[in-house]
Amino acid sequence: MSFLLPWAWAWLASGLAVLALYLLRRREREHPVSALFLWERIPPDRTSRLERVLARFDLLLLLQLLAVALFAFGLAHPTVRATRPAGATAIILDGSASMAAAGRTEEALAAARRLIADSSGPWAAVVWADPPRLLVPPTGNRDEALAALGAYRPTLGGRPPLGQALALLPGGFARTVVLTDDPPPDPGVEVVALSPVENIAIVAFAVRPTPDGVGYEALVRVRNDAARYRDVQVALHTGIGTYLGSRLLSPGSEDAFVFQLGAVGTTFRAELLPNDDFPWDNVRYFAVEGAAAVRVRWIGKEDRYLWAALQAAMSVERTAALPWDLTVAVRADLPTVPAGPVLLVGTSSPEAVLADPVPAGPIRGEPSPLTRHVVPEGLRADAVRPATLPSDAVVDLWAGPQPALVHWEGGDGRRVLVTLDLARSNLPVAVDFPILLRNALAWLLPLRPRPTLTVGEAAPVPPGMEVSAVTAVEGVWIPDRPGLYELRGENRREFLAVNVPYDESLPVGAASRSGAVLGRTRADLAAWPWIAIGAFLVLLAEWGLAFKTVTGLRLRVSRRTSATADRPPSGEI
Amino acid sequence: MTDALLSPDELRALARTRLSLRRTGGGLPGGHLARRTGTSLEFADHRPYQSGDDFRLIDWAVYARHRRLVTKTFSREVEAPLYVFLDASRSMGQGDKLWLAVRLAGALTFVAYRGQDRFALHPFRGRLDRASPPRRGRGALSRAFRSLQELPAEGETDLSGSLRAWAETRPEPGLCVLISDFLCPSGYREGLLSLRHGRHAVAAVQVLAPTDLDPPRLGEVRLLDVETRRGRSLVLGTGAARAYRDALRAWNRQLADTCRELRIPYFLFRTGDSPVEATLTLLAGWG
Repeated sequence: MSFLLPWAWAWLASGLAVLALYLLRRREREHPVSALFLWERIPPDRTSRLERVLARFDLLLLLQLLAVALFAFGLAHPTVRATRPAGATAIILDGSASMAAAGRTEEALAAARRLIADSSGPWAAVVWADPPRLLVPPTGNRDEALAALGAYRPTLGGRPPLGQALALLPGGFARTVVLTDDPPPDPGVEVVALSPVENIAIVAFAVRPTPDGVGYEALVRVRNDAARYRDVQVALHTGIGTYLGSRLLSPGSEDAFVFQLGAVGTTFRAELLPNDDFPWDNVRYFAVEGAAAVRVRWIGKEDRYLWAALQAAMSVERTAALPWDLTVAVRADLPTVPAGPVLLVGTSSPEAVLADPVPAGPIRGEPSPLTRHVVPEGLRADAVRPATLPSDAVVDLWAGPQPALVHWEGGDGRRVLVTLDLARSNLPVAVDFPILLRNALAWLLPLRPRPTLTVGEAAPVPPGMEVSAVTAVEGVWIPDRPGLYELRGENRREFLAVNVPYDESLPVGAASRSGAVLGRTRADLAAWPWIAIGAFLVLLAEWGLAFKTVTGLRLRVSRRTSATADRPPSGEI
Repeated sequence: MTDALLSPDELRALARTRLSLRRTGGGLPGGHLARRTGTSLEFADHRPYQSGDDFRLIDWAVYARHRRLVTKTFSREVEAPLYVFLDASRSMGQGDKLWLAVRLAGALTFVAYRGQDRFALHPFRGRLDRASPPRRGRGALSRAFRSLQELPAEGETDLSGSLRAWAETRPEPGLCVLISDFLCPSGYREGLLSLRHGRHAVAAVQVLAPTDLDPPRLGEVRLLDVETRRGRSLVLGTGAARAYRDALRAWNRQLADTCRELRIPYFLFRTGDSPVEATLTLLAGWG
């Protein structure tokens, strides 16, 4: 039972007024007796104040207070929830990815069929997916409704707010039933929760640079929603290598796997073993920005050793037109610094002005991300150009007192400057040179994670590019399955990672409901008319009792008197 | 309370009952045995012959056997009118006492009617209503029943004054039934005495209501005398009710003692009693 106007219970306070009036009025009631002389020498009973007060509470007062309570009860507009056979029924079928778990689709369809079979109709059904769609148009034909229901298939995406699905329903349906495995809080309509399934899922997956800015690490968070301990194994594929991890998870627990990655590609895939009832969240994808090959714009003089070392360090390709990823300036004198990341090799620029070469001293290194895995003592050079460096420049290598390798954050991109004269050094033939260049490129071109898409989420396709997985999709593409998709343009290749929404893997506190209730609906019936009738009857009883106790005896005597008022005394027989 | 004074079943139960009392003092021949012997057909006794006795009354069979002259005597049957004195004061209206009294009076008059006796109904309050002579027959019974049904409870009781005033009219000796609650502070002894002095056979019938016998525990209450309109405030609880019962018991004991002293049978009925059973009890206890 619920109340539409709970504040009306304040009318109970009027019972205090009734109580006060009852106690304040003269309580000495008159009681007729046949012979007062028998009472004249009888002492009155001694009673305590409490007894006298308690003696004043009689049935009349209780009836009055009961009437007040009933009126307050009725003014609060109580409603009673009652069940009755269902009539027009609208069915909302959850079409989110979690409904694709093994057996759940069949369970939802069975519940929907039972709803249609047990109610009198008409019926309509809507798939609550993103976007929602009308599955069964309004119909009064039971066979037609059951046939249309067979086309129900859950998507692998999420679901919008329930209101969007309800908006598709036509009017005239007194009962709306939502069949879902994840009941929304306070939906405002009737919800039938489906039974939960056992699930082990990857609930988080991301790749990011390490704090030192050189390496990368991958985070894979796994959750066990099974009823028992599970030994889970995670395999992370980076495109270059595979990393494995294993962990024993207790029921209802989560654990994170952190993989330190060396060389990485631009796509990642995390896999979970073993499989379970909902396999779609056992594989997650991740992609980072950047093409598969770094597009390099070359300025200055050609240096085939340097180009060979760049090719050895990373997949690069030369380009002369936009867009490019990196500018390499070799032994040039730049009037302005190009936008974006720039590798300056013996090049003077307004940010770092180089002077004429001077003899180079022994090369030594500083602890730096750029000198990682490099043995500076093995490098030699004959000349170095002294440089006027920005204030925030960091020297990574020294050639005697002169900086040999410097990096800094420019105004519109990162800069790495090599002041050594490569032609008069052993760097092009040193093993450490490609490593040094790779470190420099990794710092110049850090991998930036791309936003992960979920199934059903619209992804903009840049102009001139198309999704390779499907044919001729331009403008906006809405993936319908998880996976890694390639965006391919004329001079560009990028990857998109599409996953099942992470929300679909989170546990739900669902409890199954019996099918016997499905055919009946619950309705809130107003109870105030019955309460009002009850209060009226109580008042009537109170009035009758008062009339009987106070005036009934006098009325009887007066009736006998009035019956013979106009007759002479009847002594004669 | 039903509209009919006595139901057909009750009348049928009373139809075979007779008023057959000894020691009545009526003069006209009737169906009641008188104290003195007379000339009825019912043999009463033998007594020694005295000069002047009728020779036809000598029992010659006794003389043949014992050689002694004895005279046969016969019972005397006289008529005994029934006088019903009915207290119709306001106190009789308390607890339906008047209704039982009225039905009991009706039952007695019906018994008298069936026995071919004359009867008279005398309601009284502060004074006796006009005393009419006893009559017999169906018409008198009909009028008596109608007047009983329309009898109101009103006025104050003066039992002794009313009975004394009636006795001063020197009515024909008969059977007097006094029906009252006897709750009159002015007393009742003189009234009963005046009836006894008139050579009447008297029966005292007290009718009390359950509220008279055991008053309810009303707490703070103002008791109001229905006749005098005087009142008294008190707390009516268990103790006061017990004291009242003791007072009433003493009052009734005094009434019973007075009746025993005056050789008047005394009966106490409650308002819930059946008028037929009360009548049969009265007639059985009176004889």
